Amino acid sequence: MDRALQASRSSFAERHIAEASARRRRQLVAVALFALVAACLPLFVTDVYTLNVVILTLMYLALSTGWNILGGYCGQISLGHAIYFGIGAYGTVLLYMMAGVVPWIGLLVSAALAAGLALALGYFCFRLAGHYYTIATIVIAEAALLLVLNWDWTGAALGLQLPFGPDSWATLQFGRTKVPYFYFVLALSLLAWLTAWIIEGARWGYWWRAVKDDAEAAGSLGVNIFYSKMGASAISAFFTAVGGAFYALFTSYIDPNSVFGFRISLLIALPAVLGGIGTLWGPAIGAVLLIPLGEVTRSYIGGSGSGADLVTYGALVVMVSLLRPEGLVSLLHLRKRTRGARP
Amino acid sequence: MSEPLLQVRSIFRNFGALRANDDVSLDVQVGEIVGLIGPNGAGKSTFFNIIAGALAPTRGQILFEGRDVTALVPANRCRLGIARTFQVVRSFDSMSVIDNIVVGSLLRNHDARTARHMACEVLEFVELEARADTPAGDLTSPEKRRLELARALATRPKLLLLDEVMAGLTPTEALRGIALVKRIRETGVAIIMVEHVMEIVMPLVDRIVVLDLGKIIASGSAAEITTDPLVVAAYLGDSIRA
Amino acid sequence: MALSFEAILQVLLSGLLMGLIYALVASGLSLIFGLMDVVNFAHGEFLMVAMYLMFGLVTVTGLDPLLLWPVVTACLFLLGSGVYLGIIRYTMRAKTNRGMVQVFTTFGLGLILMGLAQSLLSPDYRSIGHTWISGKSVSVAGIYMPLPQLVGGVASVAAFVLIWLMITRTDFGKALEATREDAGAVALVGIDKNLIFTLGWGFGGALSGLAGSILATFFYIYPSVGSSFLLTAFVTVALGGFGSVYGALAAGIIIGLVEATTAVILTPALKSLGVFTVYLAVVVLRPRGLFGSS
Repeated sequence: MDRALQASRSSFAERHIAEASARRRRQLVAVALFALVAACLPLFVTDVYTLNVVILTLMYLALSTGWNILGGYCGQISLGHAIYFGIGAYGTVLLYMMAGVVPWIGLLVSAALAAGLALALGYFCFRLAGHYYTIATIVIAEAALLLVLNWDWTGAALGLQLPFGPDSWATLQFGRTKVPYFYFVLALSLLAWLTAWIIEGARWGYWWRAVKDDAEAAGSLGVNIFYSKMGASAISAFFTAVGGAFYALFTSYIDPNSVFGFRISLLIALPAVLGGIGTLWGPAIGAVLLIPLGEVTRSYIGGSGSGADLVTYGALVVMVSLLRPEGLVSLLHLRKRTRGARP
Repeated sequence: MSEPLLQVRSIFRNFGALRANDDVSLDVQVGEIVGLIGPNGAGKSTFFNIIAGALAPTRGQILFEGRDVTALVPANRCRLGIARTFQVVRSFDSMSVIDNIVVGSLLRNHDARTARHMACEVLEFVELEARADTPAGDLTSPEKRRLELARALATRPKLLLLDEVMAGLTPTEALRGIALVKRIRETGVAIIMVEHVMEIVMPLVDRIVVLDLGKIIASGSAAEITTDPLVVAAYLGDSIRA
Repeated sequence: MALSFEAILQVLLSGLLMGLIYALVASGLSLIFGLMDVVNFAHGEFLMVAMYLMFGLVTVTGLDPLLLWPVVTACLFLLGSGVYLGIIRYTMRAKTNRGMVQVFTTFGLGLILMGLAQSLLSPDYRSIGHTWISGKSVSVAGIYMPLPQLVGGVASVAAFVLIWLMITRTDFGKALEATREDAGAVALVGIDKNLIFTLGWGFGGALSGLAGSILATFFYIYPSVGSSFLLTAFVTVALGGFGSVYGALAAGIIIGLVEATTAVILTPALKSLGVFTVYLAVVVLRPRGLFGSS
């Protein structure tokens, strides 16, 4: 085998690898440019409402990128990520209020807790394939919501209000201006993106995508399917919980429905689905489209009770699923694909 | 003779009342190519999947390089050096052709860059380099067969299990496939190939094993097999049954 | 808490009646899943549509809901088969991400229906005031049975008898069985798969239509009413074994009983907790459900 392979060692491999690394470098350059442009946004966006929408968009971008690690790369569609979001939010707030743990530490502790829970749940749920897994995530998140709603220690249905403190990066509390939150969430989305980027180029990334496309074939190539799902799940849960912690600090008030509710699970998953499941840019594209659109429909057509945003989300997701199952990001590759695909 | 690479000892496999494998044993030497043939429903696929680890035998034992692998899942068998292809072609359709192969080559290379290098070489070996960046889902089915072979080769197997890799190929493509298998054989990999059509395996293999109704009815060189009355009867029966 | 014998019977009976309705909701979900391995995440919204339809028809025609059951059921049959023909059929062709496509098309459809209900019909809670059976009850040996629930339970049992007859006695039933055994073989036998799937979705819709008709007589009607029932239906189907319609019946009854007893032992607010616990036990102990094949 080796002998024959050595004999065929050629410029093709060198050329291909050079191209592949160039492509990955370009992705880094692109994200650096985006980040630079984004970092200047607060200079132009002074309106509080718009800045709020921008912050939420970046938050869901980070969350959906985290979701994509499990749902997109590894193909385990979770519609119950609110459970990790809620743990991040409640964990950070409770640790701060009850034990005086600074949010930076509290956030990491709750995220680790969420990752641990993801492993524990995964141990049982990853025996379920496909739709069974999705259903399990929905039911488990709903059970968690019910528990928190009825648990006095967590403030039950009333929720928790963060005590007001002076503006400080140490406690991550900013009452006067939201701009620091913007930079925090920008850094979080960059971190999530970078994690996805590293995964894409690493062993796990290849293996997870193989598990998603055909688990049995992946197994026949030496891929440990169960560990793959567990690893993806833990990383995904970690980022989701950090997002939850951010949300709690940002709004300084949380209640069970706003962080454990099904709506959160939905908004975490939808950007990736729309933009392109299992792609590097998909969740970002999805979030940039979906979140402002949802906010706009909500504020111009009516309050959140009106359902216009649900119709928008639903219509978008049905259309993309039917017409472009690879997601909107595939529109960017359209030219390249048709050129390369036809024999 | 040194210890065989693969020793399959008295495999039984029942599906309900049906006995798909009935006391099947087989040794494969290092670098040997064995053709596994038999009429429809002979138990070839069952036997194949038991060696690959996709099916558990009801009874029996499988040794690979002297080590008992009967209880190992396919992934762990692959780590030891048993790779396979599938009867119904399976590719990772959302990934590019080269990435499909990287999945395999990562088993022996933890670093993605070296894995990619090796994948490129395997890709050239199966002559698919022109399609490197095409999504695997867009390949034609003969191309997918070659991709599957490449993926399996990328795990650097000592034993390669080929499940009807020539099925559905046009004569030209089949010739190309045969040439490819010959090249693989030159690299010293042992092969078990299941084929329904006897003519395809004959020029390729060192030894043919014929299964019928779950039992091995004959084993030997191509010349010996074609004149074996039991084999002739089995295949004749098959053509009548069909 | 000391409970009298009558009180225990009372709890069990109301659990049983509710369970029969849960079974009915779950049966449509299970039928479609068994037929083509697709989970209809919009099933809850089908139920919601049926309830609003009933509400609208009662308001417009002034007829009693009992008379309108067949109308609503037939309409939901059309909705179900229409959804298959208009949407689901196309998801079967997806080359990549097929699992995702099937989850999110039905799911997105559910969102659209729920959103439309919210924006066109307002999120208000509604209920159908006067019917022939509402507010009445039957009392046997000190046990009190509200008539709407009793009629609903009987209708559910009748529906299951009909399903059983359909599966065992009709050509459609045989084709259905054949399709769930092996979709490939069906093409060989010459059964039109598209027709079977269309009918399957139709019956799945009709079952939610019947369940919605029953529920509309004694349950509040609001846009997200389907979600909670869908959740219970998921648990029911998981317990009964996906694809098993009879499993859904047994599991529905179990779920109803568990829910009613949890409500008494803990508090009514936590009644679903028992149901979720049952679900977790199923996932851990018998991932294929009580009656599912392994």
